[in-house]
Amino acid sequence: MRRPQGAFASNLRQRFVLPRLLTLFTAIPFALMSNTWQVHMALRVENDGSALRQITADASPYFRSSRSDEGLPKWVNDVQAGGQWDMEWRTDTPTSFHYARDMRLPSVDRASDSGQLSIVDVVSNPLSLYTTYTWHEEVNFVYHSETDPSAAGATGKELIYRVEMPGTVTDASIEGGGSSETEANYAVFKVSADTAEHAITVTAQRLRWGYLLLVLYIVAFIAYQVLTALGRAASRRPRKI
Amino acid sequence: MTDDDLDLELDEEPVRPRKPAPKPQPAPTAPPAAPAARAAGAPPAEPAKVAGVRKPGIFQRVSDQVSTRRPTWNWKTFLLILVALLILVAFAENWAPVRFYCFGLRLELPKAVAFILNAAVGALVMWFWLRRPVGDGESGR
Repeated sequence: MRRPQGAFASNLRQRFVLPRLLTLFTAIPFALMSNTWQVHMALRVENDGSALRQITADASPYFRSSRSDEGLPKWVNDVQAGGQWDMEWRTDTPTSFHYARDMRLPSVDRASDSGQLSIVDVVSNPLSLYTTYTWHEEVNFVYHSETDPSAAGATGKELIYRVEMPGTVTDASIEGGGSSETEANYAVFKVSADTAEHAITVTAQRLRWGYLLLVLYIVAFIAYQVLTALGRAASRRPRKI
Repeated sequence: MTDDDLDLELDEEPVRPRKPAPKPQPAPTAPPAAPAARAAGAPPAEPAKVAGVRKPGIFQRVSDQVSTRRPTWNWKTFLLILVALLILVAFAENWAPVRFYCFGLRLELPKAVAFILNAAVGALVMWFWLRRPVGDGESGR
């Protein structure tokens, strides 16, 4: 059967020409939460708007699999976090199975419906000493049955989500159930799995040292030139005899 | 009546070094005196040494060099340092890593380093291209 040319061109364009639309919300299948001991997720936002996502899960060796479409690897790979998972790590011991993956997102500062990184930089606010980064994201749990929320509440299942920002974290909040802690340039959220939808917001500030360095250098040069010109004028002034 | 009575500020005037007086050029026809004295048996003349003058130490020589070669902060040096600062700041702002895939290898490099590597590879290719032997057909003969 011949494939229609329009579909082929559309597929080609989607793969190579058009940039991939970043879905900046995280959807976690509840099977991952219910069948693992711990799930950690991390997001490191760089100062140029790119980001690195990582997810690690620890489970019983019963769920180990060398294939990526069954067991713990399947549940981790089913987590939607804005792109395709890239590198993977496995640690297999007789008592536990550790599985981790990561992805690098080229730019998370594009507009998105569910979340985005907004950067207030020199162009947006030239008079401020700091560049402000605000990360907003929705974290959702995908339940497989109606009893999943109550089961998560009874067992106290929660996702530990660490967001690392390019500057000092000034504010971190979570809506929908959970807690947050801030420390230096990162915030750690404990996201309760008994509620489907959560929204997290992290705000950080970074000193614009490069911009300040350039401004100080230019001001110093102007001051030096003015002082030199004044000194030269004073030395040329005729003196009284 | 003295200078103090007139309240003149003669001592506060900056003392400018006088220009050395031009040396009189020796007459081209004057015969040198040294060969004549050497012929008469006199000892050869040695440079005069000043007793009690110490050779300057290494720190003094370095400080003298620095003080004499101190660059002036004019527009040219200002622009040079400004361009260097701009490059430094641009590199620091683009230090976020990017991921490369090459023949099954996955590398992570800072964006600024990747930019320099790309430029270096391009320059190397152009250098090899320009170094190649030019044939008669391409040379226009």
